Amino acid sequence: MDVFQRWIDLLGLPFLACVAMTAILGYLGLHVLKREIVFVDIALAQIVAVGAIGAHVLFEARGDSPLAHVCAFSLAVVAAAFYAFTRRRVTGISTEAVIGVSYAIAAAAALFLLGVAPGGHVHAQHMLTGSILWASWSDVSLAVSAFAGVGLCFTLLRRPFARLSGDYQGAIDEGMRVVWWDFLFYCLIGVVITFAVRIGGVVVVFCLLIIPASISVLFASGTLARLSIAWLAGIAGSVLGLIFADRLDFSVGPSVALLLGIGLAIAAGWRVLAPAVAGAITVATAAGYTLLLALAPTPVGIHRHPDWCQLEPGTESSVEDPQHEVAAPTVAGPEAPEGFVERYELAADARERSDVVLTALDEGSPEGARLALRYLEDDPPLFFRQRVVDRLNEEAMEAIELDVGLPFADPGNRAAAEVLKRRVVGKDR
Amino acid sequence: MSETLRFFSAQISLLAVVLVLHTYIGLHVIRRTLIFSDLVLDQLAAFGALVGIGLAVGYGTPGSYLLSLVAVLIGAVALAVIKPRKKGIPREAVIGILYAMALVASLLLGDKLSGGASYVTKTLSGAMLWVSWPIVMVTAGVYVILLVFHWVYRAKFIALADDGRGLERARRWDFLFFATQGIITVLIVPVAGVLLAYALLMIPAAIAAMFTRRWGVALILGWSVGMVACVSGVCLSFYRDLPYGPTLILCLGAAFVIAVAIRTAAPLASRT
Repeated sequence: MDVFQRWIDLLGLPFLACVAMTAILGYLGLHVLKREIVFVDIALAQIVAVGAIGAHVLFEARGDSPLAHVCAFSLAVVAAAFYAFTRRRVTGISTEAVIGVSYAIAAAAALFLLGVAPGGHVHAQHMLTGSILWASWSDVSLAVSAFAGVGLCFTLLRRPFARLSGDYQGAIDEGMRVVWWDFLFYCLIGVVITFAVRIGGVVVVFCLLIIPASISVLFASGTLARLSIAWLAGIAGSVLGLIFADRLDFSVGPSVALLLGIGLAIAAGWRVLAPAVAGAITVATAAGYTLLLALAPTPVGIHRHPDWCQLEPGTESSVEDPQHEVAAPTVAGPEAPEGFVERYELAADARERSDVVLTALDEGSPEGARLALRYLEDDPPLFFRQRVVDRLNEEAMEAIELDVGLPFADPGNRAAAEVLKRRVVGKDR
Repeated sequence: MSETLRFFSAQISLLAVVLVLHTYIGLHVIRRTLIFSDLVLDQLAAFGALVGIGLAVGYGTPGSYLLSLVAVLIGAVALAVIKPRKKGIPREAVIGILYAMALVASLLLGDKLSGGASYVTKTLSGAMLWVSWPIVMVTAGVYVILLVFHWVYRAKFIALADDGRGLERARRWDFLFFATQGIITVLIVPVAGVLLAYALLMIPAAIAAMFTRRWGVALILGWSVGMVACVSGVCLSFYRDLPYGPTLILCLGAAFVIAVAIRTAAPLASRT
């Protein structure tokens, strides 16, 4: 298979999501650096995550439902009001300290809610690493329109915001109503973060906000020059990170964040060290990156097992328990020519198969659980496994504490497999 | 009954010891607005422990502590040495990026460990329920040594907090400060988790700093408020069967919100 075609298929949409996030977060990052409220974003991101988890735990709302977005955003507004207000009223400790403490409280609240919910640790990691790889067209277009709206607000109101970020005390002396402007500022950041965290997770959003902006501040002083450098840096980091994650089978969010961090270290090297040394470091890093990609063991990559494409339908399950053979004819019968089992068997690769499983579960098909079981028994790549297990655990039933790091047949997963099999049998009755 | 009593007494003694030094270091951190420096070190300690798991060194064994210590000391050097010369980048940004990188390293490592997700969460939320008397003893011993050290050199460290420029060899004291913070981090993170360790350091100190600028008074105030919050957190978590670390942090957080409310209703008269 053509490697570039595959990259476009698999990484095209995640890349678009990264570009959209870079565009808005790179700009906001400049404000955040000027105001020295670096951690406002990580705190808000965490608060937004609490809102979404709260919606899930309290109302059983799914992550992409409007209710979850509303809950997440309203918490962000409350936090925005809190920050804007305390900045003026609470002396003795800096705004940064208030933000730092609120981060700890929000993170604890998230873990608290997850501790009550089933499959907690899987969700906890998901909250941090996000799911850029699973960004759908609707996710991305929704996020892009939200970012565009916020971008428009920032363009229209750029003068007051620049005034406030550049010289806070001066703005107060001039009689600006800083509390309200601050509140608006945090609210707009809250909107961006609500959508960005849902796609990217807490870590990558924070890195896209701070790192490109920091790189740009190192090299330029004008706003436009800074903005272009920040965008370039963010996009370069995203591309390299996506390829890195794909090739070496790491989570996408942290990989993008890591590459951004390395980029900043190199950029700082150019400012601090002699050009020859900095150049040498840059070349060495680039060579190391290329070498790492070239030497990566291929079998772990997504879509890399040639047998996924070549296996005849049916052969892969021939060694499994006879349940499958019983299952197939019931649905592939004449009344369901487009049945899920058939679609599953015709699917080209692990990703498509997981799509079929998820659709079956979403539509409440009786085959959903059975297909999920069959899918997991084949030990598809980690990302896909995780996706299916997460989806299964969204149903308010006995949690499936499947350790996706282990093969399905591993003794450590026996209990989870039993739960899943019971669920399949329950559906059959 | 005696079982419950033993459980509580070990927990609460540990918290009482920990809070003294944590509140004091926290006051420094707040005064110097290096809020997230502690989170960097906490996360690095967790990263060290995760590396240990990758190398088949068990969680909570001496080897695991040693790896955490190495990671934390590297972090302490980085925190002390990296100071942006460019005015546009606040030092907090550097700290924030270091934190993000430590977290990212842990998450990427978690990808490759079997059961990684559960370990990452474990290092976040801690396992304080397993506190035993030997851990209390070791921790208390080290804390007392560090307290004496900080008492002897308090003038230097306080000068660093007030204005770093006046002090000779500021970088060395800076490193010693972060190293202290690192050592307590290594001891506390495996039992308390990243977030609780951070909360214990920041929240009591932040509450105290809102009400007074005097070190001694702030220390007593922070310790007492922290103790009340922690004891109620332990009881709540024990009797209502709630997740341990998060419950404690939420209790501390409630105390913080109350303090902010009081301060908002009655702003500090003498602004500095």
